[in-house]
Amino acid sequence: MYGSGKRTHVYYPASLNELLHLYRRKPHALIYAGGTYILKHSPDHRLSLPREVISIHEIDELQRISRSERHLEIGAAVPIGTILKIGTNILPPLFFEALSSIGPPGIASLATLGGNLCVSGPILTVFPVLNVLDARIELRRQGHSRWIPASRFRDASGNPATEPGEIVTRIRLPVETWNIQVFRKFGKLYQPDTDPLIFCGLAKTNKGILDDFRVITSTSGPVPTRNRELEAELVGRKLPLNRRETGAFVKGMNATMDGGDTLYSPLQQHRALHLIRWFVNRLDETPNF
Amino acid sequence: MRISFVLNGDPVSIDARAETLLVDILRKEFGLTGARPGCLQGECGICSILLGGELSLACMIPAFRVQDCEVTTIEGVMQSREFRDIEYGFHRAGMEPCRFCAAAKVLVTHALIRSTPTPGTEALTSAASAIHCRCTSYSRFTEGIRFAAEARRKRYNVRQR
Repeated sequence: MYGSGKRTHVYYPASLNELLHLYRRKPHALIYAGGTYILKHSPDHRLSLPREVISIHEIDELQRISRSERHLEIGAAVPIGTILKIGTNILPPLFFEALSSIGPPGIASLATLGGNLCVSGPILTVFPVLNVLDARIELRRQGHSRWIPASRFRDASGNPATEPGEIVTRIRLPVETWNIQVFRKFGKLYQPDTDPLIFCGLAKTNKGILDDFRVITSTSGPVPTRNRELEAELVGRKLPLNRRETGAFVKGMNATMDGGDTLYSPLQQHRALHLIRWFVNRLDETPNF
Repeated sequence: MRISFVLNGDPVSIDARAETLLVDILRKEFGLTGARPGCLQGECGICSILLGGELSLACMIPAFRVQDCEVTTIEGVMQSREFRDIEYGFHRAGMEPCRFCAAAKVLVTHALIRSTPTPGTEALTSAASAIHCRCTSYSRFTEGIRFAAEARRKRYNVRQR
């Protein structure tokens, strides 16, 4: 079941049960999925591993993708490249575009959805996207399972809100039709000096009325910026929104950014506010922008 | 630790530290120098290999990750008939990649046309973005992939008849 080197023991659990049992006994072991983030951040390009590593690439239960009328469920260890192969007929275009931005094909075939979500430290691409889509995340430990909203997956300091012995096993995306979906990404999220920024905007419009509306912006951490109260104020309004409504929303988002836990650089904040204004001003236009 | 995997169709087994990178194992243990250590950051794509048939980067894979997996390098692809299609496609597009990136470009093309026999513009662009080397223009590279895919489809059709 495992091999041993001079310093590192690697375990290869073959099933989810075996993994949960092992992780309960060894809560400090490193769960290794794609490993792209770990390798990118190794000093001098030399990988340093802790004493115990659990490799999860052989666990079938974490590699499954299933779809029902209401949900799309994706296993935490499914590589990004495999998810992208599903295509935009099934995946929400916003989600597809976000995953496409993670890296070239060589990285996408290794990096996993769960790995991108669970990196402690900076927020990577997947978290704000799951947050704006109101996805849910399954956390499991031996003998216990719970689903939490993606928005509650990270605590105020930006670390994954998992308990000891608990792992992310599935991500559930609601199947909804959004007629306007926008994703924009600037800089590299794992390099704060590149002023990274993610913007996601979703809207449902019907007969000139704004039916539903969501906006999120995120830097590399610790928490993305989303204000549901401001979103709710715009829902039900007639399109196009007038200058007062647009101005109030942008002003409200500016205040949320200023008062939130995440520090925006002047460039990041300027970009974020510009994108928000651009998005809100174009809600009545054709969906494909 | 003892690591067993299939390399270019042959089962192999080596003793290596868990954290040793696959690119180092391929070059030092097996003398397969087609995968080159470039940026070691997963950016340049020069160390491309196929892991379980999927395009991957050997500088991003530690030794323990290939346990029981199938690894194919450029040396393995060059032994296959399919390599001729890629060679033809590149030649027809007037593409002459430098020695530094040629192997990686062949592997990218091989991986793409095996999974997508008729690649669209988006797939071609995505494949071309896998290798960061300025020796060939992106448009010529995508053209080369398109011609290679065309040659392979043609060959398979001929065989089916």
